[in-house]
Amino acid sequence: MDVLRYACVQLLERLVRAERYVTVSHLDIGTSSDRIVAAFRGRIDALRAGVLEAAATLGSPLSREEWGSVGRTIGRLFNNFDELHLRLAYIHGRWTTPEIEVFVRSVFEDIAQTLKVTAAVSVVPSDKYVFEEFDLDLFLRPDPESTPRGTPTLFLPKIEVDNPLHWCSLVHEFAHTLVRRSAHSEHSTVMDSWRVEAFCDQVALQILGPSYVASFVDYMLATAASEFLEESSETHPDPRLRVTSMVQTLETDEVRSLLSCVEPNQGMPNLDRFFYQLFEDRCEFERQHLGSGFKTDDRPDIDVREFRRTAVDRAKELVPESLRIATYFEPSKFKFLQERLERGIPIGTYHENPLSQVKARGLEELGAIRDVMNENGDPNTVAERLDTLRAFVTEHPTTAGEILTAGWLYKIDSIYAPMIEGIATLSEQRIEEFREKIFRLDDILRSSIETSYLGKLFVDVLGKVKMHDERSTAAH
Amino acid sequence: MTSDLQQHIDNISAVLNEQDLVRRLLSGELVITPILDARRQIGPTSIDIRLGFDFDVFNITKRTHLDPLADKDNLRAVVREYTSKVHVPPMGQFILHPGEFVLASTLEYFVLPSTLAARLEGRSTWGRLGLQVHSTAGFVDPGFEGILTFELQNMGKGPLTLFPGVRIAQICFFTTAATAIPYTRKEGAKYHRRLSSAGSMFHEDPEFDAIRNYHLRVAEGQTRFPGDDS
Repeated sequence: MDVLRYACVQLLERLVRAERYVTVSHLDIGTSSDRIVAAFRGRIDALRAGVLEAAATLGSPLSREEWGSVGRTIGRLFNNFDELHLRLAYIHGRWTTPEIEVFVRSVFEDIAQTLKVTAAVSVVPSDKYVFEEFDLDLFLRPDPESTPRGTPTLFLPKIEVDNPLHWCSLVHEFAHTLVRRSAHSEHSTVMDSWRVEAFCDQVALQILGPSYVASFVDYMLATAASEFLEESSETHPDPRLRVTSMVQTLETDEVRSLLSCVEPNQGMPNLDRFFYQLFEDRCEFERQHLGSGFKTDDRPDIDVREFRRTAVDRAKELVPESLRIATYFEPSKFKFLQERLERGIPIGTYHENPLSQVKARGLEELGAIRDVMNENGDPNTVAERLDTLRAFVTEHPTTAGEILTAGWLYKIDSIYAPMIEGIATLSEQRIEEFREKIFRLDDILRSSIETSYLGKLFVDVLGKVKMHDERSTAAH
Repeated sequence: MTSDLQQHIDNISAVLNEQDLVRRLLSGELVITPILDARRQIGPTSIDIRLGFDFDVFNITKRTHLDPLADKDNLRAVVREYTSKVHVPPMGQFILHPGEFVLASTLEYFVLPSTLAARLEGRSTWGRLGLQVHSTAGFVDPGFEGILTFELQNMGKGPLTLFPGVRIAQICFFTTAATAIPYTRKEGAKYHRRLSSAGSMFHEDPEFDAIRNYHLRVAEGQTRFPGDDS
């Protein structure tokens, strides 16, 4: 069952991240806490052994009871991991990185400008493995009710600080801060709260596209208690409703026709469908083997379609067109970006046109220049043609949505798929390679986000570099 | 022009001109990314390159020197502590004081084919202010992949304010017949596929294993240094 194999790989990823967190902190503080670090390492090793033991059983046919037993074991390991993450509080670590601030700015600045509000939010590493948002003034101001709240803070699990693929959730959380600043911020009913959640999902989706679905489902699968996947609360609609709404938006919106390109190679459907299917499989597994099920009574009687449509419309009002992934989503880009990731090359910029077109036109131009030069032609003509030629190799900044969507695709396709395939027989060497690939991808994506932001800031003075909305208009 | 003739011309040209550079960039044979402004960056025989986000500054307050004879694992840790990473985000600044020496990264990531070598040079715009972009290691082997490390030194009289993205250097490329040992296959290649500046890994050179062993034997009285009659 792929959902369990996926869960094992997820756990291994979290454990290598936790191990790095402990190791890096250890380097910072020197040798005075050797025993504490060794204790953490011991716990991480024990959990890894548990994952490998569970994974080994997935290579042979299992009875219904055995499936249930493995499922419960993996569930326990996730709980143990959450506990371990909480204990990272004992280890001195970093605040967040400058790259996170660059990401926050690159995504939020334009929205804040549109709304004429400040984009200033703080991102703080959290000991709990959760993505959440609240205003710290609630706790830190002597009389929070009487003072305006001005310390919106986004929380990111400690081990995900270096992982841009999970920064996607920051966009959802940022949308919460915008809601609070707006006139209609009271959540007087359950439905009000639910609408806010749906709106924040749709804001993230408009900006980040399928990468937000990937990040959301990945998080849900790893942390949710059995029933939670299909259960709502007073503050949140059930994850199933949220995932379905997001996938429907991608299905019905203008991006669908373009999404066929976001297709992992391993015979999987496109990225958001892949995660949707994973989510459904997990729910089905829970129902069949662990006895939980969807309790229809939990969900108020709502028109799901209308619920989603309202959230989409409100999100579109907020997110400038130039920032929406539908505006600049081009199939040719993703092939190019994925190829670069496969080769380990950063993707902060890309060629405006498909590389084959650029190449053909560029070579044509090159031939023309050589002809003029061979005939001792007009130097001005040569200079003009050279300008045109050089423009072909100029690259343009990618967006956060493009970088993260390409990153998720690469991760699923090239890092996770081979691990899922051979999950029952993982060697230490395979885990080591997995670790290297995961961290290399982190580094490439962080570097790409910064380069892309720098490119955008240079746009005005570099003249020839156009922003994606202009490019899109030109391309169509 | 026949492809044989073109091949012949390619093989005899020493430094690539702008047309050769563009042709190789278009074909994907040579990768330099990002090129944010090719019109300004690509000159007659070179490409301007930009300062990246990462710097390595030297922590000289805790060490008298790096002892190459120390135990290798210990030396690795000492070398790691010998420099500190300073990350400067877009639009942030890094002040390089007169006489100061730091390592920095290029913004660009390079992938060189096995038929091209390269050489890093300063730009006169910055040279006139006293900025040196490498002290001795400006040569790039065929087959190299990764960002390049600048060895920045301010030889001028006043502090220099540097920003990521600023064009501080240029790189020119030379053709060679395809080498059988591109950088990726070079024995002991240490700086391959890096995404940020890298401090020295001199201790990984195997010569130091021999030197260390020899000194150990001298210390244990098993042998003496050549010419040491004491």
